[in-house]
Amino acid sequence: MSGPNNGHGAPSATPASEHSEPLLEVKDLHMHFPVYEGIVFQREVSRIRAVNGVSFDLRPGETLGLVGESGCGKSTTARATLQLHKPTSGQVLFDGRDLCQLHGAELRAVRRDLQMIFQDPYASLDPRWTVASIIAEPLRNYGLARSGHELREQISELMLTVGLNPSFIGRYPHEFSGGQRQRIGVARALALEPKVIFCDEPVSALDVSVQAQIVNLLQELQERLGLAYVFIAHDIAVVRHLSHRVAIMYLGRIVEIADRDSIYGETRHPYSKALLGAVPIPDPKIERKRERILLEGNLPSPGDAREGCDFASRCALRKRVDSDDRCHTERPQLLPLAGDPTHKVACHYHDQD
Amino acid sequence: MSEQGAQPVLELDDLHVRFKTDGGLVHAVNGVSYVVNEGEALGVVGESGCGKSVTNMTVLRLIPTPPGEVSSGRINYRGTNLLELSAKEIRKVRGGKIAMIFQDPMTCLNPFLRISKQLTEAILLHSDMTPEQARQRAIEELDRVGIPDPAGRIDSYPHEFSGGMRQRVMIAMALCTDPDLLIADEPTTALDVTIQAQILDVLRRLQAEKGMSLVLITHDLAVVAGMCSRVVVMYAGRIVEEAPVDDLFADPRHPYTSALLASVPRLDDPLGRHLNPIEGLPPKLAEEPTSCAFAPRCPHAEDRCRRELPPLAPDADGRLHACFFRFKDGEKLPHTDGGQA
Repeated sequence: MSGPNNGHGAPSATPASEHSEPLLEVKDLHMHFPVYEGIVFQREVSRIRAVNGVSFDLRPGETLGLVGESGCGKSTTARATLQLHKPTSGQVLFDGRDLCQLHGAELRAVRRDLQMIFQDPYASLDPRWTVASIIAEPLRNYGLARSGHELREQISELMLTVGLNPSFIGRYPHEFSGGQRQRIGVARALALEPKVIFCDEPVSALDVSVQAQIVNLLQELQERLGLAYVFIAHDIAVVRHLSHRVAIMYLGRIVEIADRDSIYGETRHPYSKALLGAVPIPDPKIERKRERILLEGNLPSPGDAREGCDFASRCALRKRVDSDDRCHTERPQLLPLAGDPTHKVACHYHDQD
Repeated sequence: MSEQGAQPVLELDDLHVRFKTDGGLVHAVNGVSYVVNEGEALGVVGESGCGKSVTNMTVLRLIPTPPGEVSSGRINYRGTNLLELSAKEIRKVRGGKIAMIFQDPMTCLNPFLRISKQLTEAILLHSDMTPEQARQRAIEELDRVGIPDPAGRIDSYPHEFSGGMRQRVMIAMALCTDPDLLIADEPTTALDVTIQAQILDVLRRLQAEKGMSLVLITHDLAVVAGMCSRVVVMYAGRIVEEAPVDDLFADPRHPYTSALLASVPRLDDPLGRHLNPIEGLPPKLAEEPTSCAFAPRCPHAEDRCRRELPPLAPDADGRLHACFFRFKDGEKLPHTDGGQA
């Protein structure tokens, strides 16, 4: 277990590897799900554009936070990157190869380095398997499991790494609490010594007092093992706490991406402002004083193709400044700011607010 | 702020609730007392299983009995003990003068009925309106919670609304009988932050407009900070601290409250702040606690905490907490008066 004061805090603003080559590059990723109608003769009537041109890169030892409301495509982005859904188009470059072009054994070989932790520790562990078999499964899959005694040793070590008591090796998932189950999920992800772990809402199902245990564990492991994370969560305070860089998604696209400090300190996109402005802060004095920007309306359907900006219909900035209707006719590209090439925003008028 | 001398609407007095389960008795609520004053917003905070929902469901007698059982205590609503009412009498109060909304609107809305039917049902039950008047009233209420085109949407089915809109429908349904107390059980937990902000805004506005009292049950301290004037913190079926909202956040007195505040990251944290998780797990409530239930997880616990049950008692300055010790900036103060004034 991570002690209350073991000295590690939030990540420093930039990981040591800031200038190193990206480990993983995602380029113009699209993931569309067709919608069929008809029982005998099925025809495609529309497409849900869950991920609609997402690009980002990830450096070794870095945490990229992916935030957005439910349905914005953040989980689908993770799954499509890992080829759990075969992307409609785009490139995922890892280790000099494009994962989208790989199949079968080749893909399996690459996946060793890319693991995932899931949200619900009650659903992602098979209730009929012991902890030992759950953690050993990836090792067996890749033929890395050694003989009985050595394997046991290996599993015990993994359990220690994530703060589980190795004497629980023969227990079943139901004998553990939510936080401990999440640790089992982390141990399973670590078994193959991956380079990247995609964490899909890993603390959302946990109680607040337990959340911090898992957050600290993930940070410790990153420092110790040099892991890179793509950290998906709707809890924006948790993402800020863990990430070096943050991407904000809206309707299948990244609308803003920047270093952690700039995205929270110098938010540019009107949607990012609304999203960050909606996060309540546990301090009554601040809460009473703050000005609330309430977003109107709901997410538009990801099934409709739009020409302009997806956020235009709800955007307060557009109402003030967009006199020639550019927001509805021309899609804003994700472009770097003049003063800060690492901060990219997809808004025509981001400098006018 | 809770004004001095405000009329109490609801008073809970030493409420005990337990459940008979296959695994033995579960003592879910172990002596909870609090008061909700007129027009006030009271926050009830705690983690899952701390008894916050059970306590408030007991107010409306929504606990299934058996297996649930109120073993002792009183719940006074404007002088009437709700626990002594007959089934018929409590139905007059439930959904009438005291209304409740829940985390998941789909557990409360009937998917087979148009919302017009569901909204007018409550109005007709609790008033003398004609069906036509009730429908009109329902449309007004939908308008007030911010549903666009209420006259056009009233004949829709629940599934035709988004999550946030459904929550608004449920609030409209709760408010259409003009309750003077609304119990909101995690009303925004299932929603995205932007939608949460909208719903909290609706609740804040309606509470002010109608002068209604609100009990807001949540695990989210940030929501309480923006909504409530007074807060009750629960742990293992007991209240461990009760305080005006500013005092609670500025100067938490119970170690559990401090620990809870230290374990959540905040959007305005200084960078590099370390999160302090609370080690261990909340206790299983197989027995009624005879010592401090938080002691096994408490960094400050001493022998006395493991032997005696600290009562919820006021400090010298009137602040209520259930701990033998006093703390200042996380440091335990020297033992002077046995911990309690």
